[in-house]
Amino acid sequence: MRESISRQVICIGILLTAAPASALACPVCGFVGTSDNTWAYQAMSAMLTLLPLAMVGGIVWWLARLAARADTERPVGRAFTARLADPKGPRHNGLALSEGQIRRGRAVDG
Amino acid sequence: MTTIGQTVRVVRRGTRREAVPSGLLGMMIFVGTEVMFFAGLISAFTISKAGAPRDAWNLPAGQVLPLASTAVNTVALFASGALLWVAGRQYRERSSVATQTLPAAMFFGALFVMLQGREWVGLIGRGVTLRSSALGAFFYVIVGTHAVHAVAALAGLGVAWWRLRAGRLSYGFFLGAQTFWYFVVLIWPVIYARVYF
Repeated sequence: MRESISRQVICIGILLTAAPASALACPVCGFVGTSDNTWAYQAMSAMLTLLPLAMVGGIVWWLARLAARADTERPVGRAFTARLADPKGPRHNGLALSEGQIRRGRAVDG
Repeated sequence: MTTIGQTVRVVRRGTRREAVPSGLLGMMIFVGTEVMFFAGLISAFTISKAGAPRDAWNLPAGQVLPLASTAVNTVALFASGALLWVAGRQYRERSSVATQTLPAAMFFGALFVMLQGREWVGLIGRGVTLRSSALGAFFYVIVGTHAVHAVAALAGLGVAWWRLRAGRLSYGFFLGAQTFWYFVVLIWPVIYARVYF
């Protein structure tokens, strides 16, 4: 019984894969195959697919790196920590503090 | 009670910390959406250009896009980005020179926008409009959208400069304005390379 169902699923999957022609998802998609712009269509599809993934991945990687640095008591980076040393310096927002800085009372108390 | 500015929030019990200024993170997410917006425009341009007959992808009356003068404008834009980077360093080092470097960066950015505007006036005078051809339509939409972003980013830098002079500039705001201007500077070579060539 289970074998028969899985066979049916595979057959349907193959049919669905073979059935569609071109997917016209945008106004310029109609040009696909009508001229020599297939390379452009494929390249732009790849770019629009990979670009957001790369950006989100980059931001997540960067945040994880900052968090890891903050957890190991090392400075988060010159840009963010140079100003921590001098409370009288220009205002700044939300700078990560190391545990050492917290213990020395440089941060919020309570 | 805070000892390092009210926006540095550290909760001892949960050791909850902000690793990144909220203004910077928000701006990065916004810039991400803007990158996708321009990617969509450039994608449509690329596919349309590749699909158009060779003789149909032209400006009216044999006009060509001003490559050389736009290259000069591009230099002004890059100079602006470099000066903003210097201003950022000076600001972090609490140097008062930042109040002079920042407006210099804004000047070159404004120069870029004005020179681009002058080119537009010339093109429109020679009959290149939104409706004159597909290339003209793409040109005005893409380059015009970039110009709108440049003006908005300049306004942000102007506010940053105003606050810096008044001693009220927060680091998060400065980083946000800086990030947006870098986006305007760095997206331009892509537009220039795709649309003008």
